[in-house]
Amino acid sequence: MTRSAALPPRRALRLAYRLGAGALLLAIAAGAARSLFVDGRLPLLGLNYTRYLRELEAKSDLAALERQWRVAAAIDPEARHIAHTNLAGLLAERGEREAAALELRRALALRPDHAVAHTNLAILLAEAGRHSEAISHLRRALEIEPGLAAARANLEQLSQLVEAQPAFAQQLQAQRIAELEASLRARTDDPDATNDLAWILATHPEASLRQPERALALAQRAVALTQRGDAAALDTLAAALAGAGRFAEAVSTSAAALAAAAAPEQAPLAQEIRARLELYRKGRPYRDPALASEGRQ
Amino acid sequence: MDAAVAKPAPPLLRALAGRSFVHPLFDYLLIGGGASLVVMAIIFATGRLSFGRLVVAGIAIPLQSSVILACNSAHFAASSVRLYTKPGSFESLPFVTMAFPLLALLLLLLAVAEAGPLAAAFQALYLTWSPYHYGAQAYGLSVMYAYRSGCALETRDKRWLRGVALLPFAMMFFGAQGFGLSWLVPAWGSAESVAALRAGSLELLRALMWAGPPALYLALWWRRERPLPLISLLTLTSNAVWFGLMEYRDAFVWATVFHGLQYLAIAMIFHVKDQSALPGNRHGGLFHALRFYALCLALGYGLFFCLPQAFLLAGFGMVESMLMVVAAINLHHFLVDAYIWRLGRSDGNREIVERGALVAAPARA
Repeated sequence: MTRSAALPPRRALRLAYRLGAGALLLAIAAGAARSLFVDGRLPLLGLNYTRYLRELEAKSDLAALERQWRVAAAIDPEARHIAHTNLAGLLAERGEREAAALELRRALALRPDHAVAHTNLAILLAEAGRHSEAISHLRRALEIEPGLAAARANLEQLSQLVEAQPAFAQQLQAQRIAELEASLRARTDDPDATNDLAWILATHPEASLRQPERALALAQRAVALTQRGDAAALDTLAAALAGAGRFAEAVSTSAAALAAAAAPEQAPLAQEIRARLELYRKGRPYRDPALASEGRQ
Repeated sequence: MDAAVAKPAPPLLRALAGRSFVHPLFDYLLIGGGASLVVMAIIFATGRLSFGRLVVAGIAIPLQSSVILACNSAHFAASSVRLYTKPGSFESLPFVTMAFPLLALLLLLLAVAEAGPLAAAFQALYLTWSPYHYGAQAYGLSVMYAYRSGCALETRDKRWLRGVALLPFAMMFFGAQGFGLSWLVPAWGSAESVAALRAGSLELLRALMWAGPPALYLALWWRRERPLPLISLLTLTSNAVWFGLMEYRDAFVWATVFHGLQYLAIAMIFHVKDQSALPGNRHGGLFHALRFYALCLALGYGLFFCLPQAFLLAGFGMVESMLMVVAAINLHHFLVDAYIWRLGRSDGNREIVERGALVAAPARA
């Protein structure tokens, strides 16, 4: 290259800058034109992107809406809890209740004072028969936002339902155990059913319903099926060991469960495990009071 | 008035009032942030503040696009307008004027296209930097008025002022979830083992944030036997009030309105003084002020309202387009600001600040 052909760095920079500025102005003009011709108005989005999302909702473009809430949950730390909550709403509508509950737990891990997430999680829990947990979430929602009508209405309805116990609870319990047994007959390697049945048989407050040896065998199987990586399965095994009077092993297993529950969305579970670990250290087994009124799923 | 001629020390009231750029009322209310304190007092006496909404005596006043455009968007654009209209800026700041905007555009394109970890980092960086920028502006204004009022600050004084001005940032840095320290070290935001340390440090920082500005003001007065202008204290206090009394999301929305007004006012003053001093200028100050604001409005509208629509046209979602455009403009604004407000001896800013300034008597050790 001859010397005269080389562009001095500052001139090259100026040229690049002018090209960039031109491209930016073109993009701005194109954006304004898009809004004018496609949306029929000048761009006036306001404070944030929520208006656009409401429009997607109105158009029932649920696939686009879900993608956008997922993007918001991934990149906007300020609105992440709202994104998880709204994503949960979409998943629940599609019948994906487990995934919806997980999104709501993520929202609550980020913002424990998010009353709407407490309320929506309570609805999912109540639908799954976990009434006492649902009630505690609804009470928390009302503590945070006393005027939240949905939380109040659901709490009243659930309270009436629970008052009709214990007949209701016994019926629910028998139904739940039968469901789990059927599920295990159909699929012997189902870790969730194995774990849930083990939990009931290990921790039920009614002595007549507890089966320590079977609970231990089921819990060991659930842990093996989940390759010792699932905090809930390890927690159940610890409870079964404590139920069988093997407290030293219960303590070490419970500690392993606690270590496995390190993810932020598992903070509530970690808190429960910690409380149980203290019981085992004192040589006391754990009895799940929630099972007195409902099934644990 | 010749700034080089020494004058006797001003009486106490004059020293407290300091020397304004336009009029004491304008300077104290808009640039010092006094108007924002009045608004905050009304809110806390009669109503409440919620995200994007002000409720006074039961009447909800939502934050409208027009207010966002007039204050927030225009203020972000103001740094660019100021940069490109400042005489000699292309020659003195080639990186900031030409290379950095290209870099910012490239990063914006990458972040929108990828909308994953890079976009999340981009977003968290701007949210982390934002309170720092507010604090730095409070410090800059505080020092600027001190200079202008004839208070030559020693390096040690400036260090203390900067430290106190950045206390709200420190509180946000340690206390925010999803950005600040919890972004850099996730365990800080979630681990129960540091919960007590986190809560304790926040309480300490909150106390320091309230007590810091008046304590430092009095300490400097005591040591120098002459007060800094009260507007220097007011800028620090306003910033502390925005972040101390409002929940972060509200602070983020409403403080940007107050900060935007403050910024627009001071940027406009500097712009008018620069343009009026140009050889061959045939327009009055009002013309330059209106033209400056019109440019800020137009650029703010184009960047914040139209540019995301261009990404939509290219097939991206509104969430990533909107968030990334806002993040990129903020980051560009923060960096440009770090250059255009320098008060170096050879900089035109220094001349504007010192024009008509009182000359300080040397401080007593």
